[in-house]
Amino acid sequence: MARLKTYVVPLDFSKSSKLALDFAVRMVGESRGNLVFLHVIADPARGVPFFLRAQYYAELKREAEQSFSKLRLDRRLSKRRYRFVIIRGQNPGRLIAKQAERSRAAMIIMGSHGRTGLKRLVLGSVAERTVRYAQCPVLIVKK
Amino acid sequence: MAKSNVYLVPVDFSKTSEIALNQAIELARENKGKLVLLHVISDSAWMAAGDDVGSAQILADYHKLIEQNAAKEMQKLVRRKRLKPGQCRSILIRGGDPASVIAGQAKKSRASMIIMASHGRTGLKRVVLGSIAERTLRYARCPVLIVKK
Repeated sequence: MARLKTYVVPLDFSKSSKLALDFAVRMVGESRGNLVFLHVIADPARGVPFFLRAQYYAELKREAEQSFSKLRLDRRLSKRRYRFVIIRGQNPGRLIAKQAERSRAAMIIMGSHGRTGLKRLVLGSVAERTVRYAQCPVLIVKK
Repeated sequence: MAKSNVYLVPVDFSKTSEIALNQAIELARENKGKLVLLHVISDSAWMAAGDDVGSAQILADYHKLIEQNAAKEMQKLVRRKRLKPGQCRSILIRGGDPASVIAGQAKKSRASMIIMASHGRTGLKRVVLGSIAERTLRYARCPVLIVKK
């Protein structure tokens, strides 16, 4: 049997990213695979004084972990099937694509608009960049 | 995605759309899904002969030819991919805007996903999404899997 497929699911805890998560979970339930949930912390955090940034990032990380564990309990995800990764960097789209390569993902599953997307655009900026940089197929889940 | 997965795969017989089809076949195999292959004969091809072709007969012949060609290409594709009749259906539709036809068909077939290439025959390579993929994404209610070459 072929090895289990990995799907990367970027999460910014927006409604749309949760929809993508639900879709991914259903898909994995049917076809057997692993999920990599990925949360990107934007760096640099503009408007935060330099000497406070380390603390700020730590805070964001803790928040993300909290939101994720809430989500995990809510969706009753089994721990064996997924990994949760937090990375920090400049260009979320590129980082998502890179993570997908690193995890040898078969697919990236993401929402069309996250927290920052302009609703009138077809794709939010992060989704658009992800499609641009990704080597693997990208599944866009709309709300 | 409860009982049966239907994957709608728009094909324009380009290389990229075939790559998307390969991906769809793989997914369908894993999830026991069914494929719906859709080719849209766009109005621009339909009208290419212009208005002054002489007679209505010539125009009708021309249209028949386009349809036959598309049907033949579709048959070839299905045969090449060794798709069995039970697992796939192919549809030819003539329509003005391929993207809205694709989205409409997705709704009609209750597709759980549209699987398409980022660029088909007409997309500009330097943009992230070809025009049809972009508009399909706009109109579609279901998730859209963008397959890159």
